[in-house]
Amino acid sequence: MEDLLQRLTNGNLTEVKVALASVVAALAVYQLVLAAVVYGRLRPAFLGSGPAALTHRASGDAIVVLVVLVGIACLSYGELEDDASIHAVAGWALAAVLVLKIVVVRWWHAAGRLLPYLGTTLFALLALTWATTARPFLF
Amino acid sequence: MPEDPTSAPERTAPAVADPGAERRTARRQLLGSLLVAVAIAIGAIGAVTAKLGTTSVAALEAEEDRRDAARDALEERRDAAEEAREARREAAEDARERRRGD
Repeated sequence: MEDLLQRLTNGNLTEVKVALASVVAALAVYQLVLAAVVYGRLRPAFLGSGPAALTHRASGDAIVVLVVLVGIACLSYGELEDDASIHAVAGWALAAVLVLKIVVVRWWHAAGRLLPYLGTTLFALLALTWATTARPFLF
Repeated sequence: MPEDPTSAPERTAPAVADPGAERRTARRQLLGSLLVAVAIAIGAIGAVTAKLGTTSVAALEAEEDRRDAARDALEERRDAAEEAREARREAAEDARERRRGD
């Protein structure tokens, strides 16, 4: 699997992973801002809650795709066997919360009141996962 | 009492014009916020690329290995040359001593 990914990334799997994880982290911050607009915590004159909600959903879909790609790269490295235990735990927790949030958003509407908490947890886990893998390459 | 015809358009106009204007505004805001998301993604990729460089870590490590190998080869050649010089010097001294003995 790692060989295939290395071929696809022209031998730059680590760099691609760091870049994608950083895009996810940056978009996650934007998601927080958009969520604040959707829930009326922020009321900028230039952005209503409707468009903010649609962008939040679209950006969230993109984040899911990127998280899956980064997760596949992590698993191909066999990082879970290394001593990066915080990264591994945060990564698996991130996957679990992400699946739960998607289920709540798409099907389990009765649990909609949990969305702000799920979103905040997701952001914290994304930040932790990024900090334990991509940050050392950049700072 | 009949309605004042001059005031009617003022009351109805906003109600008729607003949905279209609102839709256009919402569409503009949606497009703008999506463009911001795209700009954030491009900015993040640009920042990471600027930090890591366009050459991969694997390529940099391979380059470092090549440099180390070249340095080792140079040192080996120097050692070999030094040993050869030493051997020649010893041979010359042996020859001198042999001539003196004769």
